[in-house]
Amino acid sequence: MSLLSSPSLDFVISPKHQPFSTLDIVWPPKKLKNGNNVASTNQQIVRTSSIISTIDSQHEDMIHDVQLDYYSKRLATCSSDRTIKIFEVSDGGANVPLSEIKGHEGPVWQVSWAHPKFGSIIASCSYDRKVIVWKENQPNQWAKFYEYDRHESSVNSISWAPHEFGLILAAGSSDGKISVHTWKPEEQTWDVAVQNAHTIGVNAVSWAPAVPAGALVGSSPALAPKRFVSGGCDNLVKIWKLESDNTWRTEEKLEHHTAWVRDVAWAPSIGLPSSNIASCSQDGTVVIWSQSNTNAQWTKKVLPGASNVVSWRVSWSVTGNILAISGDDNKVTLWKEGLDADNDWKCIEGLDAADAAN
Amino acid sequence: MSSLMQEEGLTLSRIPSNSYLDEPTITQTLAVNVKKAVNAIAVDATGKYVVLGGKKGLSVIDLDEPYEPGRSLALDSKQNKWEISVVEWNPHKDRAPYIASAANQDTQVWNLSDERFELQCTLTQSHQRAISDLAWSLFDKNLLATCSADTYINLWDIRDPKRAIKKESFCGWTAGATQVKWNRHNPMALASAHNGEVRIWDIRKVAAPQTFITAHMAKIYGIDWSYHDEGELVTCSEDKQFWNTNNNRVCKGTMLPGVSILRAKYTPFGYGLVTMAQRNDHTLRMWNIRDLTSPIRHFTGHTDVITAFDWRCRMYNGSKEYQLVTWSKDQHLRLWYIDKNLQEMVTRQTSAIAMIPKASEDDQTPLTASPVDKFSDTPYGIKNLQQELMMLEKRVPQHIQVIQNSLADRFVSVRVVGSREVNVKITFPSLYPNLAPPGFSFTPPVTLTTQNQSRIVEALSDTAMFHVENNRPCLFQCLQQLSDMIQEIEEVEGPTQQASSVPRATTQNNNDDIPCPRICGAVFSATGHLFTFQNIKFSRSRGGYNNSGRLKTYRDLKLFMSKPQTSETVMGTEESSAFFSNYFYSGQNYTQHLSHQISTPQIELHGSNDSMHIDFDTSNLSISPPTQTYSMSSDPHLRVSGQIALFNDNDFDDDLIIGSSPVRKSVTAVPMNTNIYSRDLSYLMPQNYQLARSYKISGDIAELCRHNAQVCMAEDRKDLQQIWRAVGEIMDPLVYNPDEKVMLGNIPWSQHPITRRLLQSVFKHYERLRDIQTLAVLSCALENLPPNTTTTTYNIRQSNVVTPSSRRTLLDSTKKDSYDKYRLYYAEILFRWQLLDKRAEILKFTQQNSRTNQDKSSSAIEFTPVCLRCNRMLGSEGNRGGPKELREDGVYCTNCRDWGFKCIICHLAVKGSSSFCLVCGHGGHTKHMNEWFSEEFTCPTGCGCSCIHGNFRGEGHELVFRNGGGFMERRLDDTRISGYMSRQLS
Repeated sequence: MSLLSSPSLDFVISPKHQPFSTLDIVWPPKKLKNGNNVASTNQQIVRTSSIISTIDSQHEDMIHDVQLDYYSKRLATCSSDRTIKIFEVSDGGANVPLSEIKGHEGPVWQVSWAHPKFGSIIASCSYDRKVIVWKENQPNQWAKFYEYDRHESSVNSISWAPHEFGLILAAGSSDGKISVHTWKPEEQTWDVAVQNAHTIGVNAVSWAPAVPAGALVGSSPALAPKRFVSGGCDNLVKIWKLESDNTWRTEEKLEHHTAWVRDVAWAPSIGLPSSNIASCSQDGTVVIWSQSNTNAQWTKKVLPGASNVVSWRVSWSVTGNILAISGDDNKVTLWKEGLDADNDWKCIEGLDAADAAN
Repeated sequence: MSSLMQEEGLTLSRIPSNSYLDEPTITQTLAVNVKKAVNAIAVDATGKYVVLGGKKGLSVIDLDEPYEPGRSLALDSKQNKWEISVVEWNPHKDRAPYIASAANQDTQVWNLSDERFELQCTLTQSHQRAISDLAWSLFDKNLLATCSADTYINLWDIRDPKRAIKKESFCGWTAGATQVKWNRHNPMALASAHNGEVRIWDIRKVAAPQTFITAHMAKIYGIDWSYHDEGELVTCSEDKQFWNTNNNRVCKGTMLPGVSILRAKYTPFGYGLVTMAQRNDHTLRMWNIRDLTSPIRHFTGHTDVITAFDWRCRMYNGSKEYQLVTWSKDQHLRLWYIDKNLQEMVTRQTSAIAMIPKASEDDQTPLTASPVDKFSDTPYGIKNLQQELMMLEKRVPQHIQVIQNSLADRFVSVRVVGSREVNVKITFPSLYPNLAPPGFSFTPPVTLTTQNQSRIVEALSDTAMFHVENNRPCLFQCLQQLSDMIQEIEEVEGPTQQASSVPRATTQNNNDDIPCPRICGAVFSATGHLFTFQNIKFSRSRGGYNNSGRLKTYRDLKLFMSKPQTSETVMGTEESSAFFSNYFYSGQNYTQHLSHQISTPQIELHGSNDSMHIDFDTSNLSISPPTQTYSMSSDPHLRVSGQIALFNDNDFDDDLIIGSSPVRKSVTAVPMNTNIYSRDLSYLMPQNYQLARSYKISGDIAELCRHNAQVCMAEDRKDLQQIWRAVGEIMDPLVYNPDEKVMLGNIPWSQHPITRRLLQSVFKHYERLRDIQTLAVLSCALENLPPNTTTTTYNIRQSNVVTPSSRRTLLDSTKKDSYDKYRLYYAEILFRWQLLDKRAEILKFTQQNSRTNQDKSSSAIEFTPVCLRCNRMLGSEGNRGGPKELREDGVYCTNCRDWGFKCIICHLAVKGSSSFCLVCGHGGHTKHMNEWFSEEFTCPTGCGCSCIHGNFRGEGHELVFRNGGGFMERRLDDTRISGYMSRQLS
């Protein structure tokens, strides 16, 4: 009798052990005391985040991007010296340079690994207005698999679509256009769709995960519609959706930033109904856009305390629980969504981007 | 009423004497600045005058002396409060001085004789609404047509100018007239435009138009009759443009859509057409009507929207010369000479027209021989071209070499000195530098791409225009700009690159639009490592000014990197000094402590190869000891240099050049770090590799939980250990709540209703943590059922029956999909970790694994009942009304307002367990069916179906479904049947 009249079952999360709150199950359930702030962040970090290994990239000029492959075994770097380099990385710290890819005629801005089910494939984009897809035919022998040179200005960003959709690449350029390249395995050709996206230029593109976010219970497990997010020089973050007539349309325009949007990143979905997008801008703000399910309104949360720093890049961890923001204050800050009622994002760590402080 | 005012409103910045005009203006391309608001222009029949009609009235400019102030007529603003919207000269030579103008509802006819405007007559209240157009008849010098928004088209006879008579009046009835034009061949034909329609009238038939042509969907802005073909006219509109023959109303051609065209006029020569875009376009285009794919000529030069244009033609040297007179909002009247070449292009009938490239601007300013200039004083002490050319010999911009100059022929040839040879010829029109810009053309060998060429010509023309508008010479400035642009192109393209090798990438990117590339970043790996890099270290100077805030564009970065930084911008604080020293001296035996206070004016670094000297000439830099000699670090990733640029000019912009030099030492003024650092942040990640390796997910649930709790303990994850212990206790059949024993008996927690809610709460918690590992593993572990200890059915108050005997797990069945997603995503992480066995184990639990990968229809059958009376499917869709739960189950037919599914035996509605035959579709209550088929083999309805053999043979699938009347989804992995199975009951 008393059991059933008990209004709710709760368990207490006490901040004893960071980063994961411990779970003390009050059993049988008792009424919780008020004011038990279950998710107060406690910065009692046992383990350190010091640098465990350093890779000398041997690049002769600035590095612009590093990306790990699917298995986190290999690291691709690209640089203003127009090369892409591949390293083998291991926890033990032995970082072996594997190969160097030359072919771009300008600084290479971004690299991106395709899913391994398509083979060993890297895409790169460059100042020379080209998008090149490289394929490793023999071990450490990379050859040009596809080249697209129809952009009219520097190609600033590339992103592979989730592998469930096939081998699809989106590229955003300073000519204001986004091109979507789809590999047609039957015809062995690439299909290209280009649309105008942002006036002045596109600075970043990022695909939405393929897992349907917030699909209805029991509904068919069809894949979510193809969507990606882009940020550009018109200060907008735009969400694009492939409509049924096979054209890309703007699904949403997210306005907040007052200067160029530098980077956008769509958080990975782990099957939760919500989607998160992080965007950072030249105006120094970083915004997390979230949508509780596919048709809901996007809401924004501005990350506090980052206003003096211009952020260059936002990057999600594999499960989307941590956001790494690298800014021009030489720090990488890690952010996590709080567990209290208003779900505020909190900075949990600040790391030096380089080891200069040591 | 109206007064004549000389010179009013017409101002020219300079009025050159007309003695230099040995050549008539008809063969020149000129620009005249007229500070007036002008709506309409018209050229008279003799080609001598142009009349400008606008806000203030009329003014006439003698085109032979365009810089002379013309005659103006300011209208009395009290009586004429409307702007003049249309002007038209009488096309007949003997009535040439007659101008018709329209302002609002009034039409006025003026006689421009004796250098004066004389009002001939006013056609007051000629229309009820504003007059939109008027046209003099080309055959009857006394006939004037006006049209108005009031839908009427009136014909006026002004034989006696004092008494104009309305001769005829046509009514368009439905829509206001926007244009009226006389046919050039048939004196009786008149065309008018009404919205999207063209009506062609015979002026002898007032009642109705002779022809209707529904030409456009949108409003027609302009029409014009052909010079050649009586039946051809052009219409232009928002949507497209085309011709019609009014004989059979066939559209002869359509220009490409996309540009809305305000006016289109046939060329008086050849088969050309000139179009004027409606907005956002400062260019006139000339087309050959036989090839409308691309214009044959752009008339570029106006800096604002062109609002009116007209043709001027005169006889000169025995041939007929044509000139296009345009007026733009930039308050310039421009005359464009149509040279014979262009006339030829329009006249030509071949399709090769399309091959003629887009003409560059320099064609518009043809070289015209002219004797010595007689310029009066000009700024900068340069009085004329002669002086300017002399000046050029003394003062030439860097990298520019003058090859040839000729005052007599008015041209200069220059070469840009550099890695590639670029030759440019600059030609000066006779009026230069008075509103006549020089022309630029490349002479062979041309090493630039056409894109670059046009870009350069465009930029140079802009610069030149800027100067000549103020009557200033512009040669030096243009050459300077030319030099700069060539340098810039070489920077980007590399010195030796041929245009053909990289066809598209040769034009230069606009670095102002390219965002500053990322020079620092952080990315996560799948294993929870964070890889970071930072090429340049920034610091905040004391004022809090963040120096990288300027690095918005790529150009900013290039500037930042190429310019030696002062201590203010790169260094400035103690921290950054430390950083600085770190980069400069790392790996060296430099161990001196750095002090912030000791001021160091100079540091000397001696590199291993070259002697480098880095001089920081500000006193803010604080590195001690004051002067020391260090050997440069040979560490390859520390690429440090100071003002090396001062010593080695060639390397200065090395990093900006796209070339193919195999080894390039990047030389920048900013210390650069090309290391990549990796950190292990897996402790921040919810998922853990070791746990993934050790977790058990199947087996005895209690034992499994114990094991997992131990694993967590070993990994120092007390939080997870606790949850596993809690789950273990829930699942242990021997643990129960002693408080409730009395009331409910020994209910294990696994069967206690509160457990489900607890687990839901646990799942919710880990969802918020995005702990995919725990979610997935827990969901799999809970699929393992605790051993059954009892089969008793517990009744807890009046709630649902808990049946421990059913194989139902403790998981929330409504969230199966979510659990599958967790498992799938966790499986992907395991795949990334290459724990393939573990992955396979997890995937075994996903129910929809096969469905996500395969076509959905290949593995599932769905049944839905069909109402036996109305034959409607009783699914949830399309079945409205009635109790909701029945509707969804498909038991109730809302159409017939009765139960849709009745037992074949007892004829009562079936709501519970039902069975039916897949072959004949008959069925009913499971109990009745079982009773019937225990003895019989055929259908109880007598339909003859051998139901037992049809359904229960073979695989032995049991078609006994629970819950409701027959809607049931069941997966039959070995079948490939899909679609709907419908049943009928008799």
